[in-house]
Formats: sequence, structure tokens, C-alpha cells
Amino acid sequence: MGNLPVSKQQMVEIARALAHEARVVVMDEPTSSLTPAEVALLFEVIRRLTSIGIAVLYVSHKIDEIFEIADTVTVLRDGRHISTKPIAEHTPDSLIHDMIGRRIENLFPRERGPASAETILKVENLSTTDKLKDVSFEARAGEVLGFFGLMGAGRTELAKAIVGFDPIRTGRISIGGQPLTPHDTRTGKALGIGLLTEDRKSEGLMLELPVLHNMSLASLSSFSSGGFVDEGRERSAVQEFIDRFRVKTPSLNRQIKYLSGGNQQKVLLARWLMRGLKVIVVDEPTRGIDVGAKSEIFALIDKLAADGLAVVMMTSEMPELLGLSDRIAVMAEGRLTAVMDRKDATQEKVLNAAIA
Amino acid sequence: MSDISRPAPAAGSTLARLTQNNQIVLLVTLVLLCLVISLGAPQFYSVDNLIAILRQCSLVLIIAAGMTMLLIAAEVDLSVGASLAFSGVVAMDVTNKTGSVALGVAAAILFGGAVGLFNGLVVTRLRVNSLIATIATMMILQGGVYLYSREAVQNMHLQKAFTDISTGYVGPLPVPVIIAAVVVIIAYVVLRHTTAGRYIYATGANERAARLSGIRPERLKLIVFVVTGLLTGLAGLILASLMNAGQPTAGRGFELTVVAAVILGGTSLTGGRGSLLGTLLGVLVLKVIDNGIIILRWDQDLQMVIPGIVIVLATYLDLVRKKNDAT
Amino acid sequence: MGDRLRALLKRNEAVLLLVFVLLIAFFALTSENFLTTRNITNVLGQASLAMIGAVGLGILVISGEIDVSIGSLVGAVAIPLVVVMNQTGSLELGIICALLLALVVGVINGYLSAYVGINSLIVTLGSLFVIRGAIYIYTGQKAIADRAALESFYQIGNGRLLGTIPYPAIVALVILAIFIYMMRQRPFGRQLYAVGGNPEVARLAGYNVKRTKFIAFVLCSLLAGISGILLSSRLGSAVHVSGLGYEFQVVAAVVLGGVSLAGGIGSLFGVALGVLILSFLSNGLGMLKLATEWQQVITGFIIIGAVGLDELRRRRR
Repeated sequence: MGNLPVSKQQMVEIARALAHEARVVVMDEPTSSLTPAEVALLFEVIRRLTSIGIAVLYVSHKIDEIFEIADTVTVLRDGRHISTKPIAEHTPDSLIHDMIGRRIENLFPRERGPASAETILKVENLSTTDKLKDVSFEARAGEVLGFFGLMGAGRTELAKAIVGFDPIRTGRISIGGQPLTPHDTRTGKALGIGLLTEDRKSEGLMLELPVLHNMSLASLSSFSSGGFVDEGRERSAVQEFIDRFRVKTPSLNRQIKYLSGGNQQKVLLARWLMRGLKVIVVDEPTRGIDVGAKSEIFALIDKLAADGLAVVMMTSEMPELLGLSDRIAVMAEGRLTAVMDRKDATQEKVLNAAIA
Repeated sequence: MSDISRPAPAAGSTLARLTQNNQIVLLVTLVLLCLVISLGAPQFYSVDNLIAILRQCSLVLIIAAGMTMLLIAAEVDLSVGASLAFSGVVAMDVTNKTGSVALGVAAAILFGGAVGLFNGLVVTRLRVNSLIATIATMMILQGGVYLYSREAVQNMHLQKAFTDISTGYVGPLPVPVIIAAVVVIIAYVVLRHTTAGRYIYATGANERAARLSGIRPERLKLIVFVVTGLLTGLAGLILASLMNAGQPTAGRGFELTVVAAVILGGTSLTGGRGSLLGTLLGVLVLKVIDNGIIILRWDQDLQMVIPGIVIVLATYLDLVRKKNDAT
Repeated sequence: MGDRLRALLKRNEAVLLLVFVLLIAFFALTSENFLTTRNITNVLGQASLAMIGAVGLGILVISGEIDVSIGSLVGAVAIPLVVVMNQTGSLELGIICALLLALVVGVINGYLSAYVGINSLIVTLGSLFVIRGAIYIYTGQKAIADRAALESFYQIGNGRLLGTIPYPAIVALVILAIFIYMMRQRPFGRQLYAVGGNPEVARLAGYNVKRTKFIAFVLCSLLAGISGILLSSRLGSAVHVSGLGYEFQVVAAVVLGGVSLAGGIGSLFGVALGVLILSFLSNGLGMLKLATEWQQVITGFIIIGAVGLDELRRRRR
């Protein structure tokens, strides 16, 4: 079973629920790792279930999904019931308003200027044993380079390879003109590239440890001399980022597991920014984060590029891709299939390249 | 994962407080134990007895300092008991053959370090689960020590310096107690105030996150295994000096005592959580119980039963506290 | 053909079987006394004690838990067995009392681990100390002699069916067969895998995770109890140090047999092969006139090598 694709595993789970003669099936973020075709299939199954009188409780944060599949929508916020209405009485705006309790003027504010011409990250002919095939691209200072691709296209693999986390078979990676050799995260960190992982729980957070230790992890050496940590300097630097990023935490000593997803994400972002990066790779930066915190993360990413970083963003969310990127790269089956300027990109073009 | 803040526990309840809580419980336990024992046996508070307790703590404490770091890094070493005996045999044998205490000391510590290096390489390179890898090392050492010497290696060199390692005093304090104190203080400072210490916690708490942040978990674990090995060699040396012989059968079950003390001190088996102060208290509690059983003239075999109950009870209390904290 | 071979080699049991066959072939070629009925049945008799315990520990580890107190329990059950026999002259009563003790230990371990939620390594480490300490206190660190001298008591550990197959081997085989059937064919077997593989999913699928683990603890203790009864018969008394280190032997065999300490992965067939490999290895090395200590050393290296290779194989996939 572990070898089946996620979509098939879900079908098995649904079948299992039906085998138990379930009258109600609860689905919690069922599409978070499905391709569009698989999502369509899942929705088809849901429609069939409802047509034979089975109730489906569908939990999701994706607004377009809700409009496509729901009959009635209930909004919860901070553990409280906010509203329950037939979907016909909602517009996307009214739904977002219920979800975050305020209106968002512009989800994708752009305050940065145009990108500079200076190439910071250069990837040439990168291949790995299991996924990536001959990927080459460049990222410039001050730009957001968005990578789009369907599930399994190799975005996460690319992200992990270029920061030195996963081994590569062939190819060259250089950051600010310096080659990433030896190919490991230690070198990557020294050269100024870092990854904000898509899987916060298993690759980002140290759940049991305090916010302080979580944030300073990558930059500890800059607060230490002779191997000893100067906790005073560490605390003040962390506090500075807590204020700047508006991280909501009662204290620096709070275990990070008690923070919300959005605040956890800000801490992880700060983990890298504290030590001053040239390139930051963000993989699905808004996964599992509410709409309100999303807009803050978007603003932060915009700010990073404004500060002269090259931001490489892996995403499967089309609005995010089109809203934030300066240039867009599309992947399919481990290859780079298209690179285009934002102004030339349309949803259709991107999808076509992703399916190719 | 939802973005809704989890129900927050009582304000200020942090990692620091959590471990402190555990330590306060241990401290209270320790004080109560002392009170109860002294009621039944007033000689408990004699200077001689208190120093005897510290002396008995020292061997466990030296190895437990390494084991604490290992458990925090989410690994374990069950070969320490066998390595303890073997290093003792090596210490005595080398001193016999060379007549040099310095060489004997070096041989024992290096032997322990080599065992640690072996364990570390097997765990980090071959990626064998450390529980199973160190059980295998334990078998190898238990067999190996007999191949090295069928019987206890007696003290043939009669060097005073060798016996002084365990029976000597500096001022009022026995040498092993001083050695243990130095080891514990260094380990405490390393874990608490250095980048290496932070990286050990990070590696145990989330190895992949640590690696993504530019830390090399494998290397770090290897070093901690070697340190634990070196400390075990040191303890083996003291043991050989104490028994005035290198005894191949010594140290059986010692690994379990050490692990028990560390766990009692609040260090988590799953890594990322624990402290040396807790380990110190854990060892003290176990050894005061041992001492109490002796001076109250209870059946000495209770020395196995009571710690067994104490470990389970302590873990249970920790669990209850965490549950209360989470709701 | 090549593909099928490769597919076969991906199965842990196939590799173990191959290792086992090579091992037998090696010793058969190097020692003429190895491949005799007498020797083979002897090894099977010796292996059966570890086998019975390994089946119990195997299902427990598959369910995601561990029990390191089985060595103490193996030593402990001999006491009620021998004491009751000495007083009543009844083997049956002795066995019942021995198994009752095992049941009580299993219930306590299982309750504290599965229901109270204390880490099972800690719970059973505690039991290891408590039970062994209790043995020492009760016996005063001396063996309790069997004064009833029942022939039936002697037979269960030392007798042979038709003069060839040792009774303990038959007991082990029957237990192995029952449990392999249970793991493969009965819902409880599948529950064990589900619970060990992903307790959260198992719970969502409607399995009672706590009860499943609890039962696994009880079964593990009962099987260790049976092993202890047979050992006591072989020793002809209740020996206070018997079973020391038994838990390590059994854990090694279980892991060698391909059961993951993380739970949810492994098979009892693999466990059985793990036990047989270690037993024949020790016997064969003895035949080569190597000191018993060499057996321990080589066994240690083989465990590291086998588990290391297995890890390598898994990473490749």
C-alpha cells in the first residue's frame, strides 16, 4: 500500500469507509497532494457519494475547491464557529472575510522595484539519479523566480538538490560565482543559500524546542565565539526578527509547537534571514497557512526580493505563482519545460508547459 | 495542519520550566529520601556515609554524562557495561606489562574511545539502529574480553598511583568524585552554553531540520559516541583501580543502570529533550536509595527492585505533567 | 528471469533463506559432524527456547512496542513451577502457576504501556529490574532444586518424540505455525501490522489500538513464560540467573529477521530464520572447535553486517 500513489491510497481509504457502511465520510484536506486530474476524479467520486445519500464533510482551506464541490459551507476561525450558509450566498470575497475576520485589499502587494541584472544563482545541467534531468537556470538578485509543476514534476527535488540537501549525479551549482562543492548544506549555508521546506513538521521545526532555539539554529555561529553561545546577543537578534515579522508568541521560550502554522513559518523564514542569505529557496511557502497569514508571507517574500535576495519559489498554487513571480519556470517529469517572463505568462501557457 | 493557534497552556510554561519541573520533583524526592532514611539510620548523615554515596555515584555519573548527550541526540549505547569491564582489564594488563600507570591510563581511555568510534561508525555509516548495533557490540566485547583474558587480571605492578585513582583523596574528597565532578561540569557547560550542545539538541529534536540548517548530524553523533566511549574507558580504569584487578565479568547490567539514571533524570528516549542536571539528580536518587537499603539493613537485592519501580513511576509523573501542560 | 531473481532478492526472507542455506552448506563442508541427525535435532532443541520468545517479541515489535523484561521473566517462571511441583507433586499445577505469573507480568507491562501510555522500553526496563530483583530476594541468590523429580518434568525439556525430535522443538514449531497463520490469515494479525505501521490511521480505521497492543504484550509474556518452563526443565531446577541476557539474544534474532524496531514491518517467517541462523551459527562455530567466546564475537559482527546490509538495500530501493 505504501507504494501506491497518494491518490490511489485515498481511494482505498474511501473504499474502506464505504466497506464499513459509513453514512458520513470526513475528508480532511484530501487534495493537498493530488494532481489536477486526480482532484477531478476525487470530485467525481464525491458527487457520486452524495448522490447515493452519503454525507461528505469536506475540510479544506482552498477556496476554489469549496466553490466547486460544496453545497453548504461552514467557516471556523480560532476554533470558533463563524458562519454556516449555502454556498450560493457566498462570494469568494465574503468567504475570505469570514475566514480571517477582515477584508484583504491586495493579496499580492508589489513594492519592490525591477530585478537587477546580476546573476546570483546559476544551475547548469543538473541531474539526480531518481528525478531531475538536465535542469539549467539562473536566478538574479532582487527577483522572484517561480517554479510551477504538477505533483511529481520534481520541484521539491530541485529545491533540495540546489541547497545541497540531496545528492546530485551531474551538473554544476554556483552561488555568487562560487561552486557548491562539496555538495552539502554546510557549504550551501556558507555560500548563502537556504531552503524553507514544504514539510515544516518533519524538516523544519524542532517542535519540542523553544522559539529562540528554532530561530537561531542556522546562524548560531554568528552569536558565538570560541564555540560558546552569547545568549544575550542571540536573544536580542531573535527578538528583533520577532518584532519585524510580527510573530505572535508569548515569549521566546515558548515551545514552537504551540505557535500557529503562519507564525511557525515566519520563524523558519527568519531562521535563514538572520544569517543573511543571497538566495532563498521557498518550497510551497503557504502550505497549511490561513489566508490572513498568507498575505503576510507574500509581503515578506516581496520584501526579501526588494532587499536584493534571489528568491526561488516552488509552488503548485497558480495565483501565488502569477501574483508573486518576476519570471516563471515550469517543470514536468524532472525537466525544465519552459521559462517565461511574468508579463508573457498566462495560466494556459503555464499549464500547457506543465503537462508537456 | 490548521492555522488556528493551539489552546495555549498556562503562561510561561516553557521547555526550561518543563525540565525544571522534573528536576524539582527529583530534588524533592531526594530530600524526602534523605529524611526518611536518616529517621531509620541516623548515621546516614555522617560525613563518611555521604562521601561513600558520592563515591558510588561517580562511576555511573561519568558514563551517564556521555549517555545523556547520546540520548539527547536520539541515540543510545548499550555496550557501555561490557566496554567498562574490558577497559578495566586493558588498564590493568597494560600497566602490568609496561610498569607505567600513564600508559595504562591512556590504554584504557583509548580503548573505550575506540569502542565508541566503532559504535559511531556502525550507526552513522552503516545506519544500523543504535539499540541493535550496541547490543551487537556488547556481545562482541563480552566474548572478546574472555578471549583477551580468561581470568581476572590481578595487580602485579603494585604501583601506588594506580590504586590512588580510586582510593586517593584530594582534601576531603575522593579522587573519583573529583573526576566525576569535572566530567559533569564540562558536559553541562557543553550542552548548555556551546554551539555543539545546541546542535546536539537540534539533531535529536529533528535530524532533517538540523541538516537543512547546515549541521552535519552524522559527524556530531559520531563525536558523541566517541566521547561516551572515552568516558566509559575512564570509568573502566577507575573500576579496575577500585577492585585492584581487571575483572572481565564486571559491568554486567551496568548499561541498564546508566540508562535508567539518565531517563529518571528526565531525558527523553526520543531525543531533543533532557539535561545534565537532571541526570545528576537521577544518579543521586538511585544511589541514595542503594545506600539507604544498605544502612537500613534491608535485603540488598531490593537495590534492583526499587530503582525499577522508581524509573517507571518517574516517567509516569512526567507523562501526567505533560498532559496537564497540553490541556 | 533476472527480474524475477531481483524481485525475490528484494524480499528480506529470501535473502535470509539464502544466508541460512549458505551457512548450513559451509558448516556441512567444514565439519563432518555438523550434518548429522543428532546434531541438527540438538540445535533445533536449543533454538526452540529463543524461537518461542522471538515469536512473542516479534509480534510485539511489529505492533510498535518492545519488551526487554522477557529475560527476567524466563528466569522468574521457573520459581512458581519448581516450588509448586515440590509442594504438590503436580507438573500441571506448576505449569499453570508459572503461566499465571507470566500472565500477570504481561498484563502489567501491557497496561502501563498501552493504556497508561508510558514508553514500553522504560516500562519493561523497570520490569526487568523488579522481576530479577524479586528472584534474587526470593531465592537468596541460590538455585531452587527440583525435589519432586517428576519424569514428566524432565521429559518436556529433554525428551524426544520417537527418540529424535526434541519436544521443545515441537512446541516451538506448533507455536510458530499458529502465529504465522494468525499474522497472515486472521484479522488480529492485520491489526498488529496496522497498529504498528501507523497507529493514527489504524485508530481512524476503527481498530482498537490500545487493546491490540495490550494483547500483544500479554502474548509476548506468555510465550516467554513457556520458554522459561522448558528452560527450567532442561536445567532441572529454578536457577536464579537463568534468562540473563535472553532479551538481547531474542531482540537480535527478531531484528536480524527483518522486523523493524519502528513497527509495522516484518514477518514471523523472517524471525524464525533469524533465530535459526543465530543458533546454527553458534553450533557450527562450536563444531569448528572455536571457543564459545568467538561465537559471541562473530555473532555480534554478523548482526551488524546483516542489519547494515539490509539498511543499504532499503535505501537503494
